[in-house]
Amino acid sequence: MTILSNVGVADGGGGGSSVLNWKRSFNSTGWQALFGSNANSDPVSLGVTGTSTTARTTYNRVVIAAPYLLSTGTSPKFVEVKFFVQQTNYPVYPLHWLKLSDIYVARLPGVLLGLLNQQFSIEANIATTGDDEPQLFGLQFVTNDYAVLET
Amino acid sequence: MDLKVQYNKSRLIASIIKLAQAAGGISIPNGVNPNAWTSGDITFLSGTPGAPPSFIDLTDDEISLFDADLRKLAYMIALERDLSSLLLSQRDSFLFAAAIAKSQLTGRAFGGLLKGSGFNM
Repeated sequence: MTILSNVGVADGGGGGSSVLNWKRSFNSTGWQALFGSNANSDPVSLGVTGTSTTARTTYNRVVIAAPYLLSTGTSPKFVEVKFFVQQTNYPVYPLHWLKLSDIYVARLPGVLLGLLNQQFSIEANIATTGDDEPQLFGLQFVTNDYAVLET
Repeated sequence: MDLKVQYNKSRLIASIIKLAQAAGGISIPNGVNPNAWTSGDITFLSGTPGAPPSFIDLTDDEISLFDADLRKLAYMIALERDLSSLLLSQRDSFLFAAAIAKSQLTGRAFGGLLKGSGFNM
């Protein structure tokens, strides 16, 4: 989740601060940034450098693979997503939310693969306003010097 | 993305990469159906349409560690029970992603959840 700290607050990130939970409040319907925004040139970047080594400095440290979206809120508030990975603009994908015991899960059209130092963003079509907790669910492959960072 | 798998540089020296090769010199990742990419069984949204990123096979030892850690993550009591099967069903995808990550994180070996400092039996 630290990779979201590099994204602006309006685009689902922490605006330079740590993001410690997945809570989002959607105040309007329509297409909005879910995790980073291509329209606002504010993607999730895995190539962030910095003067000091923190969990924000992902350069040469992080690869992610996420085949699912989870919603741990009361109910999912979005019905479609659109992926932008590097320069590739993927088609709009309708989500089929499966209700589990107390969460919702949607399988993505493929495994979202965030490669080393590359960037991606996910935008969502919000159908209902309110609070939600959308999460990427998968694995994160990181270097051991990155994994032990506390900030 | 709370689940982390780590690569441990210290294991690099001891790692021996065993590559099986198909006709034409295409490397086949251990444990992953090499036809999966073109058959569409496994699809990646990687921003590299038409061709997979480069990868380096995990060694047999690394695959054993990978599978053990994946099971461990899948059955963490903190996880919702249903999520276990979701994680395990993506084993081949994750293994291929691990091979890609191994290629991208230059000079690294797969160290598992405990960055190679733990002990599996």
